[in-house]
Amino acid sequence: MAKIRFDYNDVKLRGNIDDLFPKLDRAIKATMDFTATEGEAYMKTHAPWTDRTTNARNGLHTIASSPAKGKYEILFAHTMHYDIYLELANSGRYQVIMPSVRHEGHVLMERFRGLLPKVAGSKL
Amino acid sequence: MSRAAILDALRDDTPLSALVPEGNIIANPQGDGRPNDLQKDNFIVLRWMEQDWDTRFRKGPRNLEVWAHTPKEKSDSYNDIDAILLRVTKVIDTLELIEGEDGWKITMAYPGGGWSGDLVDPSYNTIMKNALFKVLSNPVESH
Repeated sequence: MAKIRFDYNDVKLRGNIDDLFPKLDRAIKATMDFTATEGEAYMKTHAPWTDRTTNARNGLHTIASSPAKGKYEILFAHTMHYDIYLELANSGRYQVIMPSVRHEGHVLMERFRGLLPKVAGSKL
Repeated sequence: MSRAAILDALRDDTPLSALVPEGNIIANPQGDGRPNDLQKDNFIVLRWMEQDWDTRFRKGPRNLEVWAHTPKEKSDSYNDIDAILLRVTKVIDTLELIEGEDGWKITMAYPGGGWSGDLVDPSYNTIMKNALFKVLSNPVESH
């Protein structure tokens, strides 16, 4: 005769889950901030036009934010009034925003891969 | 990058040729302004963009943007453009293990996102929309 027995107590599990969101939130925000900085540099180095005033290139910027709990975003933007022309004219010959969003989006998802177990085991 | 296989597939497609003359499907035009050698009709510009690099597989699909245009002097309706992108999507989505004359073979190709909104190209003087596709391919020699 054999017996398998275990005692289940979820108090620790519940506690860990309660702690998880703040840890995950900090980790995601840090990743988003890093990716935003990297994305701005990527845009400035990959903008495919030849500078005349450098205003368009210098105006490229990103803003990382968390508009609501559990929501995160990175804004990729121009500053100059004529920049929409660069994005759309000539079938996007001079575009930089969408290629950069795709590039950084891909990099970001790679960074998120495996983030949860790392955060769950960390002491952030 | 399978440029030839994609271009040939689009130019050889009969339903698409009813909407866009064969010679009006071009890739990566370098000048500003509407290319002079196009017929005054709908046209398609293909732009081969950056590659999505997957570190696990050390490869990834290349982004292909398809920009469909209708000259403003022809029409201000987006109906043709919608029909063009719909047909282009069908053609590209069926490409699998197709070898092009440039020595590249398509492993697979598929839509990479939604279509853009209704847009205007101020340089080409057209109304237009674009769609994104992902193209995974290999040089034939590597097989």
